[in-house]
Amino acid sequence: MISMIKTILMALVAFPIMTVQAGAVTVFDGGGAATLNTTVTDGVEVDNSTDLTVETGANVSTPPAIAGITVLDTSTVTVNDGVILGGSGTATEPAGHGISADKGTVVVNGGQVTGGADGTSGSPGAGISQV
Amino acid sequence: MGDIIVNGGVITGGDTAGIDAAFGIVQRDFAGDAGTLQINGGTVRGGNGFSSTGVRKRGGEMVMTAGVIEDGVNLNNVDFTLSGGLVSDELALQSGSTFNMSGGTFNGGVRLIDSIVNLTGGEIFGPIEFFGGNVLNVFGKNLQFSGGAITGRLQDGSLINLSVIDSFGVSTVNLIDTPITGTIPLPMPILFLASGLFALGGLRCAGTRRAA
Repeated sequence: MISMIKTILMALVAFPIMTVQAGAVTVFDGGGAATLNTTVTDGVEVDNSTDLTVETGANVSTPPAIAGITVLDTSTVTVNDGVILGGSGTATEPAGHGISADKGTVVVNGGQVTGGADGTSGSPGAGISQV
Repeated sequence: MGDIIVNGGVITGGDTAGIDAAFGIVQRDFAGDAGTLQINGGTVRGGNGFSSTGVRKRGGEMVMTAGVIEDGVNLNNVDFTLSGGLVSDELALQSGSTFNMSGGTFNGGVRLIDSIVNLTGGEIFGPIEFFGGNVLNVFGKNLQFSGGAITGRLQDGSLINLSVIDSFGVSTVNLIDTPITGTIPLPMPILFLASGLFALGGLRCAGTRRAA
């Protein structure tokens, strides 16, 4: 038993628990039509007149205080299925919206779009924000 | 400014533990340009927590034909047309908003601040409260405003029994008599009487034709 514990401890020392680094945001900016049907953990940006369709299998989450999907221009996001969740708030920053599209168009036909939960700053995210 | 169109799905504001409200959808004008919000299905709700609101919108147009909005609607200078669907909790209209209701259901009452309501159909459960100068135009048949309530039938044939609270006494209520276009359910005795008269009329006509 003792040798087994030693083996486990040595393994932990040899392979320390890694800190997961935040990855790059997934960008759709090629223009024309695009589809999202996979898991994204660092948010999505849509730009350059791209029509993004969110389909079954899409699961969008983000780091704190960032919108699940951010539309940067007049692009269109159509949600047919999947889950989109804004990042939670922090002590100093408000939570992210589910979809933030100041100039773009958002069409929701299905799925779930949810704003990020309030942190301690006191500002939860909206499901969809266009301001 | 783009538009927001909801035909299905579920849209929810974030959970909140503080005093800030969470909105299912927030849409505001930017430099005087506001997009349109269309809700034709699905569910829109505020977040879990204090003072959440389903929809908050400033400027532009909102159209709802079906679907559900939970936790109320707060509109500022918006033209809102409601022909179907359900809005739970309160509708708050302010600053030059116009509300045209021809169908659908509100089950939390309406609060008006300097706005106009044109009511031809649908159902409102709860009072309509005036703050500031407002105009309420009710189109229907046999409309009466007495005892602080409007009763009668709306233009679509639905019954109305709407309590009115005018906190400042400067708002206007117009009851406008118009032909009722919807189907009005008749009490059963009247239906039986009507069917009997038609039957007698049919027999008489048949007898007349035979005699001729």
